[in-house]
Amino acid sequence: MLNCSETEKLLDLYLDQELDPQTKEKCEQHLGHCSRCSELLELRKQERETIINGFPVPELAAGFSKQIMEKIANPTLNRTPSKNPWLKKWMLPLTAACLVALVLYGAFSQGIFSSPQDAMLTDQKLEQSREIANVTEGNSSASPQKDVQEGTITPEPALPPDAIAPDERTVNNGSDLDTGVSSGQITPISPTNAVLTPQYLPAGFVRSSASSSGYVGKGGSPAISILSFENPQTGGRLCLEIITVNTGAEMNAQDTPVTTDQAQDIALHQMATRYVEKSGQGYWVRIYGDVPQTELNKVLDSLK
Amino acid sequence: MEKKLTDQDLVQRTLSGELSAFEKLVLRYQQAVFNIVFRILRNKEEAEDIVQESFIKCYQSLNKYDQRRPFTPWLYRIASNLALTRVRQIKRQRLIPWDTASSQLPDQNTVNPAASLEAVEIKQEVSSYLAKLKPLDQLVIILRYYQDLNYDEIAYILDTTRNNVEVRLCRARQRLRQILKNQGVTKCSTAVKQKNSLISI
Repeated sequence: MLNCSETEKLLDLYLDQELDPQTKEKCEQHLGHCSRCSELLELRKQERETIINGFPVPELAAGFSKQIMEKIANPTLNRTPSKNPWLKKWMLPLTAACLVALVLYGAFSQGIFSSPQDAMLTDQKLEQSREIANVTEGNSSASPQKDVQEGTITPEPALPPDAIAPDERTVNNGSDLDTGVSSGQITPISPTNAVLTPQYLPAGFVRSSASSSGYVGKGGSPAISILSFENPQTGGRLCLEIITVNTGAEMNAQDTPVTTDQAQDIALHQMATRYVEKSGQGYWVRIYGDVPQTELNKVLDSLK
Repeated sequence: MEKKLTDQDLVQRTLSGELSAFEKLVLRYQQAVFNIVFRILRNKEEAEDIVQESFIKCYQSLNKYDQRRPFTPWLYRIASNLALTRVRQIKRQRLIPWDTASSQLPDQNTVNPAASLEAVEIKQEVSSYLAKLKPLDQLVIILRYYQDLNYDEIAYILDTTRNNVEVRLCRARQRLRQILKNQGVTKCSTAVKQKNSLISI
């Protein structure tokens, strides 16, 4: 004897007449005395009726069979154009060509491959930087002691972007990311172009490079100029960052984007900061490097 | 009185070169094939194309047909496969030009316009609810409910086992039942039924 749960599971098979005779008999026995399952059976019949009557199909036109027979008799009529565009012979090669073009464009635009023109430009820049390096070396070797003693900076020509120290690149790239600076270009500057130049440098230090980051920031974000100095004998380094700010503005993290490498540099070395005004324009200056704090302060004091 | 030729007779005659015999098969089953294909595709033009293609394919591969088996499941198998392939193509192209107008056919048995309208709404709903099932589940429901085929015949058409059909049918029914229940279609159907009975009284 079947219970209600078992019968319920068999109702669809019962209506489909797919039950074996024995199970069918058991099912009917249960339905004979169980009003709940009988009601459920009626509901299933009703559902079935709704589904069957709920989806009418239009009648085919009278001449439909003739169309089929014509196509069978005349196989050339049978060739109906494919509705699947992928099956068209030219679609696949065209798609493949578009994909290849897209990939190549992406690769070139990302600099994975360089065009011949780019290669030529790079060679030129390298050559330029070599020449500049030679000039700088010549100057410094000619009278290094004099420069150090007088505490003046050896003038140097503008450096091409490729000649900028790697850590400065990082600083500028970091500023792009953190402050929303529109241009990621590092513009080399000469001492004459620098807004502030130190008149004093610790003994043995000469300028190694100078750069500024051109930009348009939100609400007048500061321009950053970075001057780097090094002591060729000891390998010591000094980094001077000049950030243009509104007069009286406080220096905060947003004004001074710091990369991970730079933060490590600051943590490992001495650092000094100062607010300086020149021609009514305010600047926050930060200096850090391998020299005592007093030397850093002297450099800041000498800024003009 | 001429004895009605069986499907196998007509197949034999077709194979022996009598094209008119095949035309009789077409006339005999074109509407049945169209009923299946239209319910899968829900577009008259698409369905007609597939029906034509089905009969052409049937004619071309008639020599492969096992004459010990009934003819219709074999024909339905060809048509179902072509229709399902077309559904996949349409889905891929994202065109899905479902012909809703064709499912809005008025019920000729109903007289009352309001009741007729309600019945049309139900028909639209049943069609759209069926469309919510997977294409293969739809086909199982169509073959069982609309073509009244048994599980073995459905299994042959789908090229699967009887148990698989039973499981798939059970799952499709549960899903469809849930949809109908959520939308209150069964109750609505009862209301139409009651209205129609009142009109006849």
